[in-house]
Amino acid sequence: MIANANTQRHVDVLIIGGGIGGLQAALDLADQGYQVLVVERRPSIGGRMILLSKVFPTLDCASCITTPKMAAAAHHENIELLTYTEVNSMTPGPDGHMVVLTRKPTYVNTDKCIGCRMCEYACATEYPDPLEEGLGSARAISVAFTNAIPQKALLNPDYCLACGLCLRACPTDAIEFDQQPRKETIRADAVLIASGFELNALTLKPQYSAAQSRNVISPLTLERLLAPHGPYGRVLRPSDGKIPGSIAFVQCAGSRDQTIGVPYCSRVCCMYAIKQAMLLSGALPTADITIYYMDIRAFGKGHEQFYQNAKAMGINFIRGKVSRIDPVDHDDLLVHVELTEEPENFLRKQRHDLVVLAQGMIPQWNPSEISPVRLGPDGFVVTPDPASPCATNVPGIFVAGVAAGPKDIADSIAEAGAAAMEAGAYLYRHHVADMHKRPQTVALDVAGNRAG
Amino acid sequence: MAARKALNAQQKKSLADFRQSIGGADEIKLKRHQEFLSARQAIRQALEKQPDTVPSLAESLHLPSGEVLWHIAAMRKYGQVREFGEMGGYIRYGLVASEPQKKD
Repeated sequence: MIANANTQRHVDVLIIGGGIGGLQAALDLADQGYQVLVVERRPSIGGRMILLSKVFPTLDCASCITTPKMAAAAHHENIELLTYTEVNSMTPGPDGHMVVLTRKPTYVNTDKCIGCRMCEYACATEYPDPLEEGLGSARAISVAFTNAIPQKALLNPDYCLACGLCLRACPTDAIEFDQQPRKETIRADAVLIASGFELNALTLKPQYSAAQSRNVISPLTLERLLAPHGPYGRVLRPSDGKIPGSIAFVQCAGSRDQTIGVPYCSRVCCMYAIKQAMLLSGALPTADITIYYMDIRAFGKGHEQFYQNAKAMGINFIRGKVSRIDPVDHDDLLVHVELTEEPENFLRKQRHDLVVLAQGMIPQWNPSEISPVRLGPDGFVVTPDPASPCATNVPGIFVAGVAAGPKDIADSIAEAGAAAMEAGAYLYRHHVADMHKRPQTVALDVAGNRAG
Repeated sequence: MAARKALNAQQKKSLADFRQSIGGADEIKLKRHQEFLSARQAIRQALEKQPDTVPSLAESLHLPSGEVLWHIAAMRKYGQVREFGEMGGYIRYGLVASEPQKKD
């Protein structure tokens, strides 16, 4: 049952997505004095980036970049965060955009919960944690992850046995089993879509045997294996915990392929594969690491040097197309590759312990189902005006990050800043008609910090 | 571990209503939970004897090695097991010795 709340609130900008792009746009708009509401479908803000190990080409810790932005957004007086919330509809009108949200029940009163995890420690049942790509476990009631924001517990009714152990353990009586989904309507002067991406299915190409072997993994799974707070605390292969001695990366395994409906380049796979290979060579110094590629697209700032560094570190780059991956004995994998750099093409078979498939980036969310926002044939949001690259076909709705097309973190952050600027200019034009609505500017000291 | 509180009448009612709303602890959930508990207990008992690797545990307990690794990862997360070196390309895991109980 979904309760209908009668309240209808107004915000200047509603941002869909609490990943790095959405947070950057929120901070930029909030610093200009606009009231911003960030809506995130997951239990925590931080998006994909908070779950990564390091970023290319600097090898900076991803969490060290994301966490301060998460904290800044959470503590900003002009930003409100709604996590675990879905967007149901988005209707433009004369008074702004009417956005209907559903706040999913967490079964925990977030005002009372102090994030002590006593409920989690008391809980008797566990399930494969989706945030750990299924490799780790989560208890039926738990805080999403160590640096999650908000640091509040959430109950998964699909696994809860309703035994009441959490209820007995909670020191603040925060658990509320009678919570229901709740609808809320927001009137927003502008909307910014920063809904991010997901990867297409690992099993999309059956010839790569991902359904048959746990050792054919996604790049996001490898990110979790490489993260210092990952499920195993080190790199092990998922089938049996072996320390892998030979690891292969298969590039363009989910992109640049008409047969699976993803003809475009996902733009980040070459660089993250190189980054992961470098991190692996640090974590497993004796491991043999091979990248099978069609061509390396190192087009960003510092990317070519990063690629050259990887080659100098001894990572094998083999130009060719992998045609098949066969599971063989001892949970190993036999990679069949057609080499394309040889004078005459020929096939090679190479045995590996672990294979990483570079899956394609596809949009995580389809706004055209609930609004007039138009998508391109690739499923990403169309930005029809080249002079306004973050504006969609609907006045007052803007887009940033991978929702508009595949791009890396640096480009997503830059585009989020641009989208915030375009949204700010749009709001200002609308606010000029009513001077009382003009935003209060935030006083900054000489160092650019917020004064007061 | 914190002392477990008794539930008041309202909490008992909301728990009962919730149990009904999610279909209770139905057969599928209970079977899944029993399998989970039995695998977890078998691994714990095996590790009480000596630290061991995932494939060795899987063979002796007749469990899939991927499942054993998942349990080990979960036990590691909650501080119940730790690494005891390597053997043949695999990590040996053993139980974390329990802290001695304080005497009153």
